[in-house]
Amino acid sequence: MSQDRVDASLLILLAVAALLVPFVWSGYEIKLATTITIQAGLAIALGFVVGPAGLISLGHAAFYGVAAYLFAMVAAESEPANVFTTAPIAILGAAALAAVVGAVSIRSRGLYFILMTLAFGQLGYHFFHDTGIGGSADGTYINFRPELRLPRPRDQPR
Amino acid sequence: MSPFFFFVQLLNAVQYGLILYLVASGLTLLLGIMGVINLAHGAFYMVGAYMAFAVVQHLASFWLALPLAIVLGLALGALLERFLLSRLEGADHLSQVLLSFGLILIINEGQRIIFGNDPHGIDVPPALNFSIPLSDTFAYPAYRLFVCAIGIAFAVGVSLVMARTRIGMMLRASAENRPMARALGVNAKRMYLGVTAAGIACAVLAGVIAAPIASVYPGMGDQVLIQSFVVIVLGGIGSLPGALVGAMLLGLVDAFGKQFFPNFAAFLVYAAMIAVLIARPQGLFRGTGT
Repeated sequence: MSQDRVDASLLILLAVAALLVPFVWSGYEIKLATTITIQAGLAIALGFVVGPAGLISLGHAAFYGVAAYLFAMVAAESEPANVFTTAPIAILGAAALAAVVGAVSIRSRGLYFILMTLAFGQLGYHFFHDTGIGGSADGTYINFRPELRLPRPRDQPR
Repeated sequence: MSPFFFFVQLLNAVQYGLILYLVASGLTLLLGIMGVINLAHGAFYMVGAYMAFAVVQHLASFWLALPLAIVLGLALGALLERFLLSRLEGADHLSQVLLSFGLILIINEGQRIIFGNDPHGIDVPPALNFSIPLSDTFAYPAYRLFVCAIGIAFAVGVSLVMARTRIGMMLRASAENRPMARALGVNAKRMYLGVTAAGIACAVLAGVIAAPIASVYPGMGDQVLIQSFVVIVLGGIGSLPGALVGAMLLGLVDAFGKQFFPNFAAFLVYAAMIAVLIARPQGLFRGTGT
């Protein structure tokens, strides 16, 4: 078997294992698996930028944070948010911001790119921390655990 | 606004700016002369602050911490250059970023193991524990004036060394054009060792003198590191006079911005940093020719 096929089968195995987690485990283990998945996603995203693109970004987690804030802002306050309608807004919003930040940053090279991404990361931090938009140092809350459900007419985001 | 209030804030700005300059000068020399991006510079500042805490606790004297900071900083810097940075010569930025980020993790964990995660206050040394009255209602702490004095002495000393001495000339030449300076007989190995040792010593010393003002807590170096990067971007990477002006600007923003528009001061600082990086990456105060 070639290396690619071994990798592919490992990936499929991992995906199946991940899907089985909620049926085999409960409570703490599910929480742990969720955290691992989220951290892995962030690490893969950074690895993609640093590895193939060769760009050292010190502001990468800012987009993770912006997407989280967007999700919290769009989510309904008095009922569980619907992931199917809320998540795309957060993802597209963060991606649009990343496109703008990327278009500006990519014009500088090497050291200057590193410092540029550092500055953008800090800009994001202070935008939510200082201006009162993101609830300052207390952060902002999602009041109900978001649910995965098919959109029905009354589930339109507010 | 009372003129005394203004004056007190101005003194605060100068005092904070000088501490930033102490940290940023080492950072900018490392970048300008060696091309090394040292993310752990703020961690060495924290090492200084915790060292001051330990010295005050065990030896009951703040003053001892000052010479010890210089000795410890020189030693740490020399070890850093000799065993780590010298192996990275010619390596890409990623290696430097990963190496210095690893150092941050090691230093932070060392701090957690030795001192724990509680913040600690350090008493102002008794000899300087008084205030100088400016008016009936305003007074200025003598210790902060002492910090200003150290900072000004440092700035004057550095600019004299850079302008008047052979070492300063070699440093300026290396910052301008590294390969050419080397070709003309600058001993790169010795210079790198000296620059790293001196740069780290400055960061450690800054941590010591800031400790009685800022207190001592985990992660205290992070903010200083990031602000130092702002300083050296504003002043132009590798430029010591630029770093001094940049540090003073940031000191002013810190003292007055937080008074008058606390919601936007920091935001504007980083927006300005991005604007400088886009429009004038050589720094605000340098012509395009040099």
